Amino acid sequence: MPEKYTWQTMSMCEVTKVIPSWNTTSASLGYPTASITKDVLPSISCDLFGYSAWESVDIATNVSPYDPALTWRDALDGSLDYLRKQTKPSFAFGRNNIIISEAGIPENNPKASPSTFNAIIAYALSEKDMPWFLYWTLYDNECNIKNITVSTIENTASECDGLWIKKPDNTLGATFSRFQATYLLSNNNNTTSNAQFISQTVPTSVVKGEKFTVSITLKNSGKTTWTKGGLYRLGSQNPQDTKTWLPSGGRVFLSDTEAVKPGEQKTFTFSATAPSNEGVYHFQMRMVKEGVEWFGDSSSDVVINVTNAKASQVISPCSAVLLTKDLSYGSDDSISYQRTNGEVAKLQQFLVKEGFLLTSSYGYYGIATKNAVIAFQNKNGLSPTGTVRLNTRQAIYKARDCSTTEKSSTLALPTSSIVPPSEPIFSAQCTQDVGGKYRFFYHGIKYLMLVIIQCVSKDLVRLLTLVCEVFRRVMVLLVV
Amino acid sequence: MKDFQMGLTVVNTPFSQSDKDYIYNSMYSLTSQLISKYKGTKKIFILQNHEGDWHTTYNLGARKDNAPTSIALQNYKDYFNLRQKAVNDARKVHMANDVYV
Repeated sequence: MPEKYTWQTMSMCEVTKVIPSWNTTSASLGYPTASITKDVLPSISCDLFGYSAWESVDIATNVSPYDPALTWRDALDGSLDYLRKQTKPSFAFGRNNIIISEAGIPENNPKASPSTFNAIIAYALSEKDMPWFLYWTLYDNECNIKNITVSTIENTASECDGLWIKKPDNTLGATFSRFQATYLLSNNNNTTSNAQFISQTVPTSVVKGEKFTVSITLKNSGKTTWTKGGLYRLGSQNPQDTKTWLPSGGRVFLSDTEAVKPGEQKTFTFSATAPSNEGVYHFQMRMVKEGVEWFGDSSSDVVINVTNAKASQVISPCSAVLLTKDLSYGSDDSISYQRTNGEVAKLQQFLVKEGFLLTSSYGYYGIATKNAVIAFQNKNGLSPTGTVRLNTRQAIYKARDCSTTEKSSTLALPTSSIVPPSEPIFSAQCTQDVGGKYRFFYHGIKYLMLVIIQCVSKDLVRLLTLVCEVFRRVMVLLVV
Repeated sequence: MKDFQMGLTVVNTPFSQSDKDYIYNSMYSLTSQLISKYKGTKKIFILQNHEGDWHTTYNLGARKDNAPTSIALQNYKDYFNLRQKAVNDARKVHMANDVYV
């Protein structure tokens, strides 16, 4: 833990009702805007401010009464940003003093799944750069019979939300598995398996029903050796165990004789099959020890557009990226009514390739994407709005347009700075024969310059023309 | 002494000076004891209220009739400030040379 976090005792102010204070749609539905965050926090000090995120989790589980257009990420983003706006830095933590202080895995609520919880953790720790995350709760106190508020042996599993390490019937809960996996990953012993994601080649557009080849490279960063007999597999994610791409069971196997030792890399190259229906699907994989644990990095999430016809989506170094949709914070490829047609992912792939964005997932236009767009706009002399509209789309198109052909005037693209060979211009200045012993030298320089001119811009041609003229006059003087 | 489980009394009754003294002294004593007892162990304690907003209203949940009372909001201002001051004061006294590792 960094030194500045080593206060032995701290005070944390936790709030839970934040959304109506900043989300005008929720307020317009009649929910009170007054709250501790709005009315109390601006005038107090606290070492830490905690956001109990259940109202955002409720959005993920579709039980929230608030603005129906909000996604859980919108809700978290908006609430945490509002919390930051309403609070002051603390001496102990500076501005890094806002954390998510409650979220967990109520395993009896099928939609508040471990994957949702993992997504929230990943969001909090990476996108929001939070130092901590507090789990709610190791002991389920949310049971719904006979006013019993703490789970007891009399409760059946279905009568409680399922926030527990051990169920009333003495079996282990999802919370236990989650923390066991975390412990195994963090505990330095010889039974720890781990994997580091290195790279992958995955198309972003495929034809429905067709097979395509994927390769994913992982490094064995744990203490165990991966073998088929040891039950090590590459398994499908997002959602976990999905058979969307690998209908036979969502697994990729090592060969019988293969052994990937600690420190070694393994490239899994395998054939996947596109779904039979058009649409936008996620592709993500992770190592699993079958029946024991999922471990290590997941591969970067790729949003794949499954289409009816072939279309090349691979962005080569000189392939112009044409975006047709206006995109902004909150745009989401996975929400069909937004009709982004996968362009958020396309934008993000462009930003990643141009070095403006580091991401492990594609498809949602969040804070990181907005900041990357602002950086791109600043670099290209555009107004840094963080939204992608016509001017920015044009700049994105131009950024990867390496061709010399003229483009549509509606995109206002510049003419190429590369010019065809310019010998006529050069020759007009250098056709006078300088003769004698300097002729060979003169023509050698001339042809060398002609070769150079093949590759340079018009301005440099003018410069070389001047050099040529000077050279010619010197030669003439020498001959004379 | 009032119910400091932050229940109904907090919603509709302003803190008196004796209430405020009780909050400050309780938090100061608790912090002092934690620091003294666990000094050097690298244990970290967080003194935290639980989901403060539910203690400012007469009901729980996202309801349209669930606006916090102005008394509760003022009480919470006092409570947060007193708690932080007590923690700060105890840290100063008991951890003068032992705040950072």
